[in-house]
Parts: sequence; structure tokens; C-alpha cells
Amino acid sequence: MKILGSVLILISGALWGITGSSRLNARCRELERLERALLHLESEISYGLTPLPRALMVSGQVAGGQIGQVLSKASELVGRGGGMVPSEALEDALSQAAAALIGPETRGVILEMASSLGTSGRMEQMALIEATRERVRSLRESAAADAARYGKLYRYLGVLGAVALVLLLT
Amino acid sequence: MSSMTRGGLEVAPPVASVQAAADIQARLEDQVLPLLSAGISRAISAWLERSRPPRRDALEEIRIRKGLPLCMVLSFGDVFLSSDGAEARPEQAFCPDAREVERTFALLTDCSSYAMETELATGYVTLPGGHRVGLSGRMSAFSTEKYVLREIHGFNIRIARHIRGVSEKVLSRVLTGGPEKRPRSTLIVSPPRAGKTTMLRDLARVFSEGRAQINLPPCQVGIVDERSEIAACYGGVPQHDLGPRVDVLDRCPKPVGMMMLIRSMSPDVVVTDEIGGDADARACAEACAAGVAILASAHARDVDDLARRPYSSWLVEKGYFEVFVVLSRRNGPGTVEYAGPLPEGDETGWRLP
Repeated sequence: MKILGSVLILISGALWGITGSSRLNARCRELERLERALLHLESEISYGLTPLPRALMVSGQVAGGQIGQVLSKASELVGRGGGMVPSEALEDALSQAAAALIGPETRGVILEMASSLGTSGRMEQMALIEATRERVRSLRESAAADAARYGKLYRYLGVLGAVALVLLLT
Repeated sequence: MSSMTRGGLEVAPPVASVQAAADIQARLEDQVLPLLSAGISRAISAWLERSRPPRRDALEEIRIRKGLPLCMVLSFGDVFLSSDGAEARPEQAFCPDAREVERTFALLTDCSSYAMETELATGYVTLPGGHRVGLSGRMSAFSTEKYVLREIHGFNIRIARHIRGVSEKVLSRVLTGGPEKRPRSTLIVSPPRAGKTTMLRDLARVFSEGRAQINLPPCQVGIVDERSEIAACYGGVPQHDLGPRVDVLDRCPKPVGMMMLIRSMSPDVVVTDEIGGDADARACAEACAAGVAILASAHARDVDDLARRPYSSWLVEKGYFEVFVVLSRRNGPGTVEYAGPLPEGDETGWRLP
């Protein structure tokens, strides 16, 4: 019974560490998706002159993941179809997204872009999205460094914490 | 109703009384109000609820200006609205603020003003249903020739009318004689808001459908819709009923479009709106010389007025147009003042009283 309990504690600790580590990696992947979506959004706007609702939908489909869902949801709410302006639509869509995957900094960057999205000419929109993409890239690089540094830490901490707990209990 | 005749033609009743009571309330609620900010939309919606059909159906334009009273232009005058939709004096009327104007602009452009730079440069956008929104604001110059509207301060929403049958009064005048009728080159002349485009549209529909009773065979109709007003294409689809044999070049300059249509689509009739310069007039002349009937319109009080302008005087004098239709608002929009060939030696026949 004691051995079974110890094994369970060890497994739980390892799982906690793996979950924490994968959450960091998932955040990194979402930022990669956001970067890809912004690249696609920029080309839809600059080359296709695609209306924003459709451009958001296509970019969301290309990106996939949580970011893809956010963009797809925003595409339904924005413009003539949904009656919302981009900042309202993206805020609404982000409020339904998992906070762990899209952190407050990322939300801030998206909403800042949303406040000017679709309101100016093609060149200004390209500059806006390019600047946003740069900020997302910087967030992603920082998130990747965090994932590399703290991912290992989470995993070790999970296993070692569980071992310490087992030793304490026994 | 006046029984006065001009050019042997009985003066037509006002269009407003001719038009079928197409439910303007339903069309506005479906096509326009969702694109306005909440405050503006609420006021207009309440006014539509309060107004009886004759008053409601007389609505021609909705004028929204930042910081100025919300104005509904009816065929017999205009009214200002309070925030609850009651007709009010200007000082008591609802004045949309900057936020509401910005929101309205975003929704009218589908939050995609980058995709409408051409439209914004021309100063208007087309909505589903064919309604046209004129824009005013601050212009930015990119070069000596290119200007774009940057800060939008006001909108003029012109309500599109689907009025069938307005051309009946002039139809016999714009067709040739003989056993088989065909359209003659016709110029429709009137001051703004007198029903030129509505008349063009209805004639285009009649030519496109043909009419067996009067031996008018169906015609292939090509429309050069430089201002997107005749067909009011939205997403490439004409929003007005123009019959089954219509090809539209949307937002295409007239001089380019008319020859392009003639070469590529072999139309029997080319329809275009508002001849406004030398290049337009020359394109009309070339099209007439190519054996195609031209149905066009021009801003002028009457044909004398038109003949005084340098770009159009020779078009009139050389006889490129066989028939002239003069419209006015004397008895409401679409009042036909004259329809027929250029009268000889009777200049007063053109003039409005």
C-alpha cells in the first residue's frame, strides 16, 4: 500500500512538471501561430484587398489552435455581418480563449492592433500588422527562452518534489 | 395633377406617387440600420415606426453629420430627428458625436477601408441593396491628382429605389418607328435628384426584357456604371432589377468602358450615367458611330443648358442623340418635362417654367 501510494505521488509530481512545461511550450506555439496568422492577414490585406471579416477567417484557418479559434470567432462578429468593430470583436473572442495560452501581454498586443485594424489604407494597414508581428516575434522569443529555461525546471521540480514528499512520508 | 403638355407629352405624375409601396421600412431595417451606430439607428428606427407610409415612402436620403442634427431628406422637404425618433427643431435634434460617426464609417466599409480606397477616392460606397453612401471629410493629397478622404465627418445615404414602370411615359418616344422597334440613342437631362438614374435603369430593364406587345425584341444591354449607381453592384451582383440580358462594367471610367463593352460584349444598347466631360462626350460619339444605341444622362436644367457647355454642345449639335428626355422635380422627382427629338426653332420648348 505504501509503495502504491509512493508511486502515485511520483507519477503525480512528474505529471505536474510535464504539464507546467508543456503549458510553456503551448504558449510558445500559440505565439508562433499568431505570427503565422499575422503574416497571412498582411498578405490578404495587401495583395488580396480581402474584406476584414474574410481575411480574419482565412488567417484563423491557416493558424489553427487557440489563436485560430479567436480569429475565426472575431470574423463572425466583425463588420456588416456581426455589427462589431474589430476591437470589440477581438476582445469578445479573446474573452472566450484560454488565459494560459494567450497571456495578458499577447492580448494587449492584439487589442492594440485591433483598435486601428481596417480603419486606414493598405500601406498603413501593412505597417500596422508588420509592427504587431515584430512585437509578437519578440514575445515568442521571450516565451521560447522561458520554455527552455523553466520547462526543465518544472519537470525536475515535479519529480524531485514528489521524491521529497515520498521520503518525508516514509 | 397638371394636364400641361410639353413636346406633345403629358406631364407625368410624380414618381413618389407612381412607385409601388415597396416597404422602405423593411429594406432600411434589413440593409441600412444594422450598419449605423446604435444611437443613429435607434432614432431612425423609431421615426420609421412613428411615420405613416406616405411620409415614410417619401424618404430619399439620410444625412448624418458629426456634431450636427440627424436629417431625413424627404421628397417634399427635410426633417430633423431627436434621439427618440420624433421630428424636432434643429436645436433639439440628435447630433451624432465623433465616436458614432467613426463606428458608422467602420460598419459601412465592413471594417475594411483599405479594400475601398478606390471608392473612398471617389467619395462614396455602395451598400447591399444598392443604397449609395456619399462621404464628406478631410481630404489628403498624395499628389496633384490623387486625393483620398481621411477623416470622415458626414454621410449621405441615398435610398435606392426599385421603381418599375417610370419609363412607360417616354418609352414610345425612345423607340424607332416601323414594325420592329429598336432603341434610339437617348440623352436624359435633369438637375440632380430629379430621377435620371431611375429612368435610365427602368429603360435598361425594358430593353433587356423586350416587349412582345409593341414588337420590341429583347436587347443585349451593356452598362458602364462608373459611379456604381445604375446597377449598384455589390459583390459583383447588380442590386437592381435590370432584366436578364445585362452586362455591367462596374466603376469603370466611361471612355474606357464604353469601347471595351462594344468590343467584347457586342451590346445592342450601351447605358451610362452622367456624361461629365469632353472624354465622356467623345466616347458617346464613338459608340454612336459604332452603330450602338446609347442611353445616357447628363446634369443640366434643360437641353439649352446642356448645349451651352463646351463638352456637350457639339454632342447635341452633331445629332449623336436622337431623343432627349428632360426631367424635373416640378411635380416631384421624375416629372417628365419633355421627351422627343431636338425641336427646331422652338427653344422655349426645352425650358422649364
